[in-house]
Amino acid sequence: MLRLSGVGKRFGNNWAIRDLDIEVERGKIFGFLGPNGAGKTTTIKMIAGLLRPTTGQIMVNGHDIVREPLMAKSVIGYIPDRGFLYEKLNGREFLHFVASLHKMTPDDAKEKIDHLTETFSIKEILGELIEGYSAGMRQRLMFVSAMLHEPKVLLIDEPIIGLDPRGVRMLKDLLERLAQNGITIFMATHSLLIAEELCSDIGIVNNGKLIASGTKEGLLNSGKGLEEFFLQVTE
Amino acid sequence: MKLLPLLFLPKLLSVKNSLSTKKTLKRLPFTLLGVAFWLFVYIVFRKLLIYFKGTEILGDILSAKLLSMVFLSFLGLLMMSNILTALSTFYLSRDLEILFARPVETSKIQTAKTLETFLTSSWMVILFALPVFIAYGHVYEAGFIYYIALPVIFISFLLIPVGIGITVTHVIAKMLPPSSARSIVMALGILFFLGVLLLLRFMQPEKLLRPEAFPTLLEYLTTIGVDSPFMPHYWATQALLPLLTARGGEGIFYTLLLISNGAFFLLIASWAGSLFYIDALDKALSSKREGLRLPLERLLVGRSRFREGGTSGLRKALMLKDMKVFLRDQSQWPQLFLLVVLIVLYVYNFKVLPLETIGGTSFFMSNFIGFFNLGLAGFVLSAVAARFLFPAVSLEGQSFWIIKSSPLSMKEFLYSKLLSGLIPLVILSEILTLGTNLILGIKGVMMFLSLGIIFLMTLSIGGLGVGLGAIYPNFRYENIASIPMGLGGIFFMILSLLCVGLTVLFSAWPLYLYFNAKLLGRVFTHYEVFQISLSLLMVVVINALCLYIPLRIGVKKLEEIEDF
Repeated sequence: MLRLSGVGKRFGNNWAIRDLDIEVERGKIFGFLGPNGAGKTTTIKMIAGLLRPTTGQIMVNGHDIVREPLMAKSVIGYIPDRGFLYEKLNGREFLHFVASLHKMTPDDAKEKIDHLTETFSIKEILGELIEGYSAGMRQRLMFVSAMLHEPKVLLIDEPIIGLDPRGVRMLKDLLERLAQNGITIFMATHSLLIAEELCSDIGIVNNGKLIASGTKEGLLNSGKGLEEFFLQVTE
Repeated sequence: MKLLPLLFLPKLLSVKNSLSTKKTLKRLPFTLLGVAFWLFVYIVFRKLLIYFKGTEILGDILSAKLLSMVFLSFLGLLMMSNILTALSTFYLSRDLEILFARPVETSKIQTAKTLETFLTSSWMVILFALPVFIAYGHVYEAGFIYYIALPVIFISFLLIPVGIGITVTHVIAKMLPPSSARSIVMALGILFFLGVLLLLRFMQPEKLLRPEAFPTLLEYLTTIGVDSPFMPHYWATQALLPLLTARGGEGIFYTLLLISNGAFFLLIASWAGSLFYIDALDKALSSKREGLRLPLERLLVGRSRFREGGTSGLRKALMLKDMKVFLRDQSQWPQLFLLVVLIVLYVYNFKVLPLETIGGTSFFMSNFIGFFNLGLAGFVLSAVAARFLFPAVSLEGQSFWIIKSSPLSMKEFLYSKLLSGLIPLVILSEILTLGTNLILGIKGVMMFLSLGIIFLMTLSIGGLGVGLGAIYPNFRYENIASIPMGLGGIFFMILSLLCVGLTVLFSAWPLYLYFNAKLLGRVFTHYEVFQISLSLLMVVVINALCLYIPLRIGVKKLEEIEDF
């Protein structure tokens, strides 16, 4: 469903990430871990089509993100770590706008918005301008907007930023349910607890290079916890 | 370190840090422009005062009147500026949460904020008042005492609007959420300023240039200068005049009056702060930011919603989003007011044009002016497009990721931006041209030709604006008005004016041939028809290129862009 082959990104003379080979199968949750500045966000942005890889190829559902960006993007749902939104639109207008970007029919959009905003408990504030939303509410709104068009691949950069414990619990349940329904999730996070709890596959990146990758069970077969393993390999 | 300087230290350090060599070099053109303007003000005032001084009886009266008007305009400007600045420094500033989370007395914070308000609101007035005062000093050969007393008098004068501004701000903030209050005060201020501008224009000052109007000069001056002995500008004038003319007077009395009033209004501000500040600030920090909406939004977008599917729904959604965001962004409103005034003044100038004295009622002259008007309208359109179409892409701001990560082609995105901008621009240009043509009595071929050419020019200016805006985007702008001031904006203005110039140039020849044929009462020769066709073809080609090329490059640039 998602394949990165020899992917690298250079900014000026510096490689933010290089020689990245990752494959995530349908219905898997891939946890992309690494210290600050390791290249996680750059990678996610390349998969989302926001940055062009300097080397390599990224295939999403069989479409090359560089050669067929629109086809690839139509199956991606992207949630950035710091998502700026249209402050002067209200939540409902923003979601209908995003639905229009995906050429959804009005009835379909309305049905999805009603359902998802109910799930994410933001239905009550949809009439308010986004500029009045708290960080957590913005995060929930971004999740709803990313899931409106029923993506096949969900890219999440730091999923729990700004969410309260109830929000985190709800999100974990949701991601598990989505994976069971065949949605592929690629998640960059600092939270090792979340990764350990949710992810079926894990990749650890450090200084722009993938230093460990595999199934969670495979990586942690020595009986160590993810935290211990992470600290050991990124030392 | 003492608390007050400490509270002010971050501001000073921020200023110091912004003075890096790179940034200073970047600002060099603006600095040079400022210096040129400073010198220009000095030269104009010096020449004016030398002229006044040489005029018997009236001379000193005119100099005094001018000084009084300078102080009055400063006072009006500073009143508004102080309210807006105080709303920002006392209620909307980002450092408030940092300051109030520390063990610092509120009164100390208030004092620091008062100082910040004073410096922020008055530094530019101080800077540009200097050449005026120096010109007065030079021309009247003022003594040493003038330069010693000047700072005392001027700073005391400046403190009065500071005190009043802060007091009014505390009262407003107590009644309204400060984020809305700022927009309301700003909008009212701009309306007031534009009202004064329109009033001055409708007084037809050009009449004063006629020699027969000279007897009414004094009458005219008395109507524009309001010299009330209860106003600070009067006190400041009366405090400075004796030092300039060495004729004695009540200079010391008025200086003391200014000092005492400056101190009094600062005390009132402090008292108002002790009554309202904490309550109002609590409201400011905790209240939800509820966006204000212009009635215009209801008129223009009404009940339109993002409720259509497919490609047409996508375009409509993009345009609707742009319109809603634009109309709800209060920082855009003053620009809208300015645009309305610009149009009114533009049409009004044609209305009061003394056509009869320059033979404008004749067929040829009115048509010539009408043709000249095309160039002017092109210039106005370029200015409007620089402000509203050029920033269209940049206005997506850091939310551009939403567009970029969606399955929307950059071509669709850019063309929808073009369409959103072109519709109002075409309406504006056609109304301007039609209105001024009707005033000039232009009909027939010239009317159709000018409406057609202005339509073409609007398309090309629109294409240039949106296209170059995509080639030179600035998604991290702090102030919307700064977007057209960058390199891309200047490039747009140059290309746009070049396009207007070439269009007018190539349109002139067919028009000349038409007038020539009309004057001689004959039909066109085959060669003339060929020349007319070729010229008009050139007009179409130039405008088509200006429309197409920047958009094409803009699409490519947006497809490749990564830094937003």
